[in-house]
Amino acid sequence: MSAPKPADIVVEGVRKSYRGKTVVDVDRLELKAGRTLGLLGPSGSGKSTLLSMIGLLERPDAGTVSVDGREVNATDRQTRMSMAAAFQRPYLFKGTVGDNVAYGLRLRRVPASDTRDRVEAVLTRVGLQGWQDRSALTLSGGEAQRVALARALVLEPRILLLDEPLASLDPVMKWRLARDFARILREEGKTTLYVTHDQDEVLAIADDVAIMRQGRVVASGTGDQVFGLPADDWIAGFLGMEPSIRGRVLDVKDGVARVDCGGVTLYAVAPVAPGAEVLLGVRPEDVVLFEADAIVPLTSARNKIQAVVVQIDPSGSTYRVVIERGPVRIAAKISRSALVDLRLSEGTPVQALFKATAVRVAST
Amino acid sequence: MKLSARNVWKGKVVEIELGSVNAVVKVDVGGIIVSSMITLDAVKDLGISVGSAVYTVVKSSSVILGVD
Amino acid sequence: MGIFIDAFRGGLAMLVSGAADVWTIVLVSVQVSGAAVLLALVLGIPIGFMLGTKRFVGRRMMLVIANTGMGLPPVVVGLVVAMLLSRRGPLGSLELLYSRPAMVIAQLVIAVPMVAAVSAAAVSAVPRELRLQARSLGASPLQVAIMTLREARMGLLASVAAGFGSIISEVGAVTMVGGNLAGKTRVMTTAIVQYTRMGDYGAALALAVVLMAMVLAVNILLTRVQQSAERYEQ
Repeated sequence: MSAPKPADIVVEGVRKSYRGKTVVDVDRLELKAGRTLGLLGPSGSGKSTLLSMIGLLERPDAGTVSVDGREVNATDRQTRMSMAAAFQRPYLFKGTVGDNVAYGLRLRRVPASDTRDRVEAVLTRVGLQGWQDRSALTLSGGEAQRVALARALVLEPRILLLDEPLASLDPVMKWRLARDFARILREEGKTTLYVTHDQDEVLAIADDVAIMRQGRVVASGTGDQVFGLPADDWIAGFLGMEPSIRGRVLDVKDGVARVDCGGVTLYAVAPVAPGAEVLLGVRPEDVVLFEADAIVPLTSARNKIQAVVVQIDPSGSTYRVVIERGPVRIAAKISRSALVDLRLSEGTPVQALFKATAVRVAST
Repeated sequence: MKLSARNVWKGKVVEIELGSVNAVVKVDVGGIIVSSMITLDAVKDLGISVGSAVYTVVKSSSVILGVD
Repeated sequence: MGIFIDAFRGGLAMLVSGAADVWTIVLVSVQVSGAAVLLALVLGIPIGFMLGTKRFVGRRMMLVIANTGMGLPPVVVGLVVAMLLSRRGPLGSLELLYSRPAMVIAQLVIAVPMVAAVSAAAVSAVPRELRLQARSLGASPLQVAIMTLREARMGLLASVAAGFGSIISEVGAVTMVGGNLAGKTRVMTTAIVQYTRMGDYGAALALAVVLMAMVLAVNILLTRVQQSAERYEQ
């Protein structure tokens, strides 16, 4: 399959309201060529409406959508033909699986024999080899979802729009499909918009992340940037993270900044200048906890703080332990056996150890 | 001493590669080489050089498994 | 019971022997109602599609009208069409009163609201998301409409059957605008009335059997449509 060059999409000043209520108001959002942008947000935050506008299915009240630097709209047939979408509920047409997958190809007047080959190939790709002749209305949710994805993928679109494609599935099927989606999207190298309210899905599938709240994009960047350091307290809460720590750079030596965070000094590797006000965050995966009275030997980890456990939440098969020292709140992800070993509970004093490279820094 | 990290191995420094901010320290842990990226500051503080005995600590959440 | 047995025997003989006037009547019925139903589809399905898929000012009003139209008394339709086509009426110059076209017009007026209302219901059962999905795969507005009608095909068939069944059984309007002229505008229902009045029960019963068979066929079709109505899965 000769895939066409992936597209670059820029959304600028796009606004949309329904009955006087603004549902989307996005100054700028960029979808980089060949990458998957995970668009996260609570329900009602305007993600699906934004997807519809990028997909030229709905007209914005104001603003532009540009593909490869050129403004496009719904009358632009060529651009519309370069896109394909799959939605949360996989609505299929009556008829066979093959009819469904071939729908877009027929619209494009692809010859019958070519259509047959491409349908066969794409069904194999989504794990439904030889399912062409089954009735589309007898499929399970997961199977229907695969057909919906195949129906979009078979068009070899330059732009793929996926709106909560896994939301209606049970957890087992959801993760199986999430893995498959991630693999397929990586292999296809398409520009993809992946809308979801589930951050684990975004972590598994997306390269870049944007977060929407009340119609606005409140954070965007690589997954690492967005998840590493929440830009504000609402985002932190939405992502289930601790709010970023505010601090002021005291000095920088050999690339390591010493930051004062309300009396607690943290070390971070970051290109910042002395005196700068910064936001700090530490990934829970990078924090090691010690008993409070342990004599921690000299280590390479630059940060060692005395703190108190204030919260313990189970998170999947592990635990998320939140510790506090003055204005500094940090979460540590630890295993169940570590929790038992250290006899942690709320109020337990501990020592936390983490590397200067584990501290993310953003200037304010 | 109890700590939350599940993997603690004793080893010997076999190589230190200095960068501008960080250093990559290679540690021989029972025949397996473990790399550790630490700050130059930390290298100085620990006073390590090739041949020093060190502990390597890895959180289980950082260990990625793969199969052939 | 002798009256039934005699009439039945006489009627059967007429049907089997192919008595010319009986079969002419059946043919006129089918031609008039068939033409009316075809025209009703041409007008009613686009209206039904609009009502079922678009949101516009006056839509609710039109739905009310379409649903009321389904219950429009045929004699009222007959009266209005007769007045329009009468010599002194606005369309009198066409000289259509007491002709088959006049009957087609009357039946069309009865059938259009029915076809529009039933097809609106059928089309609105096609999920909006499916139309959005078709659009997102590159379908033009016309192609989206074709897809929607294809999805709603069972319901559309039902609207055809319902429309045909109601107008072929109708007697009041066709009498008023057709005049029940033998060999010209006499249809099954008006003929049954006529023969019964004359005491020719055999001919009346023969036509009644044909009419019943047609209505039965329509209802069997409708029932099958309902049974095979596929539902959209989650």
